[in-house]
Amino acid sequence: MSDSTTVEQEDALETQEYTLNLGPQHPSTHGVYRARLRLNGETIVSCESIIGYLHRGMEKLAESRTYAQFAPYTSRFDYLAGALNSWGYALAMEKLGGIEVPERAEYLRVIVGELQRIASHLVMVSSMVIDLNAVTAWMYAFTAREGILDLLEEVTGSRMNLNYIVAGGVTEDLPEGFTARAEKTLDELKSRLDDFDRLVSGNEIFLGRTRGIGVIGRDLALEYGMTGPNIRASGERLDLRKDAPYSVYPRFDFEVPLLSGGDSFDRYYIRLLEIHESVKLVRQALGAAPAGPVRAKVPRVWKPAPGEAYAQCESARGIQGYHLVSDGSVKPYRMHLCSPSFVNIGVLPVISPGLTIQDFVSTLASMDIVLGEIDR
Amino acid sequence: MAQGGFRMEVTDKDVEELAANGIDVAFSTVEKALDFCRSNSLWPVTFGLACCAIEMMAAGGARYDLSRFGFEVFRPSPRQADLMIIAGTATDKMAPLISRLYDQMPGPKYVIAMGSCAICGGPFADSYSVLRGVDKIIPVDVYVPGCPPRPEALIDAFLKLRAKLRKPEIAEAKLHA
Amino acid sequence: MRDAALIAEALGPELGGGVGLEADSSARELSVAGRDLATVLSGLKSLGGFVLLDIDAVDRPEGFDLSYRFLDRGGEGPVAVLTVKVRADRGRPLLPSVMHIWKSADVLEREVWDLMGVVFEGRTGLTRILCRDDFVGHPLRKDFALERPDRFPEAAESEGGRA
Repeated sequence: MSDSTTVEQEDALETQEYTLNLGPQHPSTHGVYRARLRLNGETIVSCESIIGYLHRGMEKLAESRTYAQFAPYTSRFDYLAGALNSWGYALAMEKLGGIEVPERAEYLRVIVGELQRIASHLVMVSSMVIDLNAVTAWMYAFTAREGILDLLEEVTGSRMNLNYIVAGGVTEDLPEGFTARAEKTLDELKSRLDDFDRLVSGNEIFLGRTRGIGVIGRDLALEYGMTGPNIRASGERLDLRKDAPYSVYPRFDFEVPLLSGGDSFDRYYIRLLEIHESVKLVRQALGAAPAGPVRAKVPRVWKPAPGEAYAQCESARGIQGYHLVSDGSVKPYRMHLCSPSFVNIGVLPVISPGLTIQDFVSTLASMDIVLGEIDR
Repeated sequence: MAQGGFRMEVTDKDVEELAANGIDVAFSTVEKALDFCRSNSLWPVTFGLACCAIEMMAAGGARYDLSRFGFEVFRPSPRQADLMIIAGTATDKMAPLISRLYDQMPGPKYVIAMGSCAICGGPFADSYSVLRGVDKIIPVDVYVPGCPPRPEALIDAFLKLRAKLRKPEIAEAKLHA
Repeated sequence: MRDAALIAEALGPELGGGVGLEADSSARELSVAGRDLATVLSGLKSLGGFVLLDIDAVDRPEGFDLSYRFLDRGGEGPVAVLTVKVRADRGRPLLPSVMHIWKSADVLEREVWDLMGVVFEGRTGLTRILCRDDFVGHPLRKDFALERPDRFPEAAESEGGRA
């Protein structure tokens, strides 16, 4: 047999690298993200991230809206975890203007914020599995999310883009009987999550597509400024809710899950674990919320003294920071969002070489980026 | 028909007469028949741009279930789709690509502008990088207001498109004096 | 977190004379001149325990004020943000690039260039990242007017910018 001849023939074959655009229209790019891949066969030689397809100029728009008028825009940054964006913005406004938030409002913020985090993580795990073609699992997680959205709708009036967490507190109190309904939904969520976990986490194909794929080591993650579940899946414990606690988080008993593989599977699995922790937080907050007002009085025409404030919030994707600069007028002089996804994608060109296209899809899905906050 | 001879026209009276004789028959043109089939099986291209995309995904999910209408087959390739749902903000950078993708879709093709941004630029209409409505670059069949529109609103848009396909006259533009 | 003044002190020996570094402990800020930026940021890297999260620019009448936000994870107590402030001249907005020291600075510097027009020297690939490649002007500058006439992006010949 001419095995050696075949090998020689293969070596003599001329091959050519070619460029392939993954996105911006692509079912698996989670938005309008474009990766210009240089490929050798199916293996990536180099990867260039091209973003800006959703650049709406929100930071410029902020300068022509009042502070309160801009608050609804903040949900459109990271539209999967809008409440957590609004929280960060509210924190910045409160820091700028010295506004104190009533205690009950802090608890309600935790409740809605953590419910939003659960919804966001559910989208992440479901998008990831549908990218790997597990459509049923996507349906399971999305239906579980509907239960959470029902709760959010009850409280805030909206499924998405909640406009609930505002400077000074929250806009509405919880409706009658909310706690009972929430408990029921969270129980249902646990059973749906168990279904999902059984369906996906041990599945041979899923493991083959995610275990050991797209490994981001702890040091690399730190070097590239990654935050959020992505870095916690690489073994670095960094969570503002524990490391620089804000609101009433110190009063609750919850863990910050930590995994050390840094591969796509760990980045997926850590979000399942975080959902369980968020459920704990919601239950505790519901039980412990004291009576009282839900919003501090903030004047309708609010003119903070000239100065600046920077506030951070642990969003579903990482550490989000809001920089507000005031010149004493009703409109911000400058509003800047420090977006975790923007920094997280910086690591993709580094880990892509050597991955195949399908591995790239799996890795990108596990990074859980949202273009709204990358492009602003 | 009873008079014999060949007529191009078939009236309701003819259909009634036939039905009275126990013959159930539908008359149509090829276009109308095909449009009827198309209206029951619109294949959208996966084209979520921003927040509205999430509600579009929810509409395809188990609770709102586009599948019961025949619309759940989202195709990644525009060449296999006949409906483009612009779900999200159309920016200047994305506009040439929207246009190109629309061109790549084979006819007959339809467009649903989902959400305030796709209709008119939405809250970002005065931005330096946002298209004030996607109908500046492609023709739109149905506009769905909302920010984001609920999945039920998107389904309503599908149903309106379905009605428009079956009876295009309902979508006549009316000029108000 | 560590006290800003103490950080400045710790950096002192590494920086040597001639590098002006002001510390504001309550605001947790270090202020540095543009020409010393790379040296100071390199010093922070050597000190360890910092993560570069963000570079933010504000267009002030006096010039462009940049804030480099670091998460300070060293020392005792909760983590906190340490801000390094630097000003770029309005007439000639140039600053040294630090992407070879802080990897996350690559995309962050490109954003500041794109939206504010501050040029980072000593690096390659300083191109637009958010706006269209043929966009004219730097939108976050105060002299960039937001109102614009309706136009088709396809018909955009490169007429001058709006500023």
